[in-house]
Amino acid sequence: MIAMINRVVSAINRVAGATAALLLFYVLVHIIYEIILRTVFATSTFVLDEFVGYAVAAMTFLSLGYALETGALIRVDLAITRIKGRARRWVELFCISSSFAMAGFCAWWVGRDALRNWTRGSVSESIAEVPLWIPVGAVWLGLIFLMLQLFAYFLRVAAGGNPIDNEGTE
Amino acid sequence: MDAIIAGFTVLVLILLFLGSGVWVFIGLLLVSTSGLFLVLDFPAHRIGAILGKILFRSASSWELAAIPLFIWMGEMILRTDISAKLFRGLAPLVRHIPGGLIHTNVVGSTLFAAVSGSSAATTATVGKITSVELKRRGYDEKLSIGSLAGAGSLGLLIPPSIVMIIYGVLAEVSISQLFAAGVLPGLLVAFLYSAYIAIRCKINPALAPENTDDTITLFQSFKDLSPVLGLIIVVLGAIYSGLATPSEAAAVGVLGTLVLVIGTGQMSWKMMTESLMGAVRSSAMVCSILIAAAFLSTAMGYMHVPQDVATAIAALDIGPYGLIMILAVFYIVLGLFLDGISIVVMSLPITLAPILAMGFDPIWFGVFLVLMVELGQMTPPVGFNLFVLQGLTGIPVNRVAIAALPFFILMGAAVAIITIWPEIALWLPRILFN
Repeated sequence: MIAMINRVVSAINRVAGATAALLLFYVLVHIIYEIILRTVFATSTFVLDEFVGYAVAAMTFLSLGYALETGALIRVDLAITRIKGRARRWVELFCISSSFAMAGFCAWWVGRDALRNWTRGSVSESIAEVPLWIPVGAVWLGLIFLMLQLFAYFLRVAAGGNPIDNEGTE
Repeated sequence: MDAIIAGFTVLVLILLFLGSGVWVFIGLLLVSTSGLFLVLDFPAHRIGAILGKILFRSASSWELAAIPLFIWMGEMILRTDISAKLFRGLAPLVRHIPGGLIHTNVVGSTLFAAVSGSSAATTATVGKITSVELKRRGYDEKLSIGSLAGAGSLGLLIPPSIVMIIYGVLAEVSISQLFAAGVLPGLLVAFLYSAYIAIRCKINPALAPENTDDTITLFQSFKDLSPVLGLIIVVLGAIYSGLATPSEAAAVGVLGTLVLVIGTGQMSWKMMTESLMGAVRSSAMVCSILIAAAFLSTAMGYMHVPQDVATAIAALDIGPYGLIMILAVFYIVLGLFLDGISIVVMSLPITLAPILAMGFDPIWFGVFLVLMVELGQMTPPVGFNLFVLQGLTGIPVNRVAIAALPFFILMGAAVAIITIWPEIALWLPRILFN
């Protein structure tokens, strides 16, 4: 059961991570397109800052669960790598539950903003008039995926599984 | 009195949430949220409303786009033969200097730093080849590993630089000017390193064996260096010709790298997906910490921490050099335990106000801060460059750290030099932007 939950969450993480990768590719294309428009045709898409900003926000939050699962999210591991066995597992469960609570608090308030934007039909102030629930909703969805990952990880550690260590990127 | 209680509470919260190993970005959010709750008695709905707004606003700021793009570029370069070519191209150029090929570490890192935004990427990419080749040729291990640990950290100082982008966003300073300010201090550090290597090897020639394989012509050398030189020209040229902002230059750099990778027949589906997913993972880490830092900064502001610290420091009457000395010690201690990005985002809300009040140039302080972060990369128990080198060579962290010690001291000397002569950092941005 726990293994299955972890497999499902892992699959969700990979899809969300791949979506983030596509968004990164989109950011590249939009910026290059903008530079060409500006230097060659002396015009603009007029929405570069806005769209790239949304893409970066969505990308960052959507890939949080994936980054956590693969050990890319850094933590101060000075203390935790020195304790072993049972004690390590209890500290790990403390980290996971407080993170889950914090992510839940964020998700609640970001979700409320997204819902308000949806019901009031709020749009951005640019010429594109983007419905704001889309980018805010993407951030919310990323937080939900992060909570799912934390939940699955909690079950795994509680059942005696190995903690995730820093991967050592910078 | 209130200020002391507030400061103490925040410190305890940091120790509790970050020390216990909570992921740094969530830890920063927890510290800020519980700080507002405990110190200022803010009700949950007020904290939540502030939090929700700041999370979205700071996440969707478009300067952040440079970070994933530069990371992606580094991920691609790491998977190509560029670092092998860099070594082959540099070898004939540095062979006749005392210390010989050890200088490929310093010169290679300096050049590579100009296309890479982080020190871990620089150390890993340059060290991938040099750590093997120098050992095979019988160079002194301590000197070659130490110089790599020191020079690899130049990735942060020489533009482009992810830490500088972070500083620029948080301190609201022009990123192009920061980039320009890092160039001369970076070259100064590289010069100190090379001079030290040359002197050591002049005194004791056994550290660097004679070279025998002398067949590469200057033309071949140039051909091997051309990918890196080309990328430097593309990235920095795009920024300083006015074609692109620093964030856009990152996209230009990625495009240049893509052209290079496709042109040299190294493009594959695996290359593309692995580099993209690697970039997504690392940038989720960096950007999420930066977003959390924006909230931390706001929370500290509500608690009047920066003003209180600034007032306390002004009351000490220690003068600008005294303040810099205290900060240098403070940052070296932080650098023992924390990674560079966490140091910058956690300390800036506190240190920036007193520094500006003392009349320091924010651009200069950015360079100072990056140098302090670089020093932190070289100190155990937590030093990313040491970890990267342990991964590359299998030599334990404490031995890498001892090898890096002379280079740590030299970089410390560079900090002293730019403090006494701030013009080393400020001259280039002034020439370029006035």
